Amino acid sequence: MRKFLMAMGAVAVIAGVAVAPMAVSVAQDANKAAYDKRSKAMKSIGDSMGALGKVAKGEAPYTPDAVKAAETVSALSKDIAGLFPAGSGIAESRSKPNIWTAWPDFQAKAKAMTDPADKLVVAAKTGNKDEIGKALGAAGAACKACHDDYRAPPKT
Amino acid sequence: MGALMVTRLVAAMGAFVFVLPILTAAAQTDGALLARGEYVLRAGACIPCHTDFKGGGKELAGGRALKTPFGLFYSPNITPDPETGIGRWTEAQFRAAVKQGIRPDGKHYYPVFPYPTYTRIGDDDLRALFAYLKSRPPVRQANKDHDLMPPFSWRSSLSFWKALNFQPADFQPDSRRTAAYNRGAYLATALAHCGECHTPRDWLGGLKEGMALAGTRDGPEGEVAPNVTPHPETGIGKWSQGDLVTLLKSGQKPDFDNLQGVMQESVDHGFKFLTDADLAAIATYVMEQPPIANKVSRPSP
Repeated sequence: MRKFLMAMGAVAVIAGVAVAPMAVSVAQDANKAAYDKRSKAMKSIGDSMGALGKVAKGEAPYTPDAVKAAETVSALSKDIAGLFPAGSGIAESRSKPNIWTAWPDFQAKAKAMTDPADKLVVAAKTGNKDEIGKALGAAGAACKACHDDYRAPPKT
Repeated sequence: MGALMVTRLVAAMGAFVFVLPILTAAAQTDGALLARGEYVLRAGACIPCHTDFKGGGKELAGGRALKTPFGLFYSPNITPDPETGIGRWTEAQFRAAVKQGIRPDGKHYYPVFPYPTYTRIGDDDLRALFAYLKSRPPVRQANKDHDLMPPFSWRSSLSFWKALNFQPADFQPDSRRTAAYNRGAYLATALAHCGECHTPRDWLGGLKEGMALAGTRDGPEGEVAPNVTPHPETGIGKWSQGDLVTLLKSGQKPDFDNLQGVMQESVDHGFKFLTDADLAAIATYVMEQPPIANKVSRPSP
């Protein structure tokens, strides 16, 4: 019996040792996945804003793609805070750690993007360069308000 | 009233009437000189390095820590305080510091002070800058010693570094280029010191030849300094000139994201004060540099 218990104990210990890193690595994978998803979403917002910027500055012609770009920004702006699960501020991320310590403020600033993003769609539908430019300015200000507090400079 | 007194009074009034325009003219010249000096200070982005914003320090009083691959530097006080600043400096001493990297005591400055760029500053701009700095409120704040790793911690090694990497020079306009290009070249390579952060360095800290503005992962404060050559994939080749002007004026990138870190400081306390014509000139110069393929930003997922 004693031998049996010892054997079981050993199995448990070995299993524990084996499982613990697995659990850690699953969490790491989840954090990396959240980071990747966020980076893609942010890049998509940036690319769409950039494309609209070219239209607003008269560097590109107005096409129906402008509305699509604005709709992309609008859709992604609905749940920006949701792109920042705790633990996803991994080494390669430019997210500042105060996101998770000042969460209510961060959440408010992230949410402040929704309204200007919706107005961007309205502006894009008009096809008017100046309207698009104005709406972009407001949306850009919302990006900046949050980035100023919660985004770190590019780090290696 | 005696005749003599009247004569004296008239003479005094005459002198007053005569002297007044001269004084006014001098005040105006001073005003213009100081305005020019402040403009040079903005174009040179002097304030971000010489002010310890994080520690709540006074403007230009130094003490800002700057993290680099060679160690931690603390900027000196350049307010006119006679004990701790540049209050006792002569213009000749200021000139030697800015254009040749030599301290008033004859020792060398570390090139974290970008004198390899500032050496090209024109005489009038240098004089105006000195006058402006002297006109600022003095702040008594002693300078801190740098915290560097050997061999960089040996100041004597700087004469070796300078022999390798530094050549005092004046700005040379290129007669085949436009006036706007040359103005931009002057602003970028004599004042704004773009290359001091955006050009990669060799292991001794010299700027790598042939890699001008191609970006580095070893920027100040551990930041990435992006490739700002007009290379379409790895640089800013897809930007318009207007995009670059907007960035320098407001910190806003073409995708409406904004800058963070040292470059944002340089815009906020420096470049955004430049005239539109000067910002356009810088953009002209940068966009006409040879494109260099060099990927420094992290690959996106």
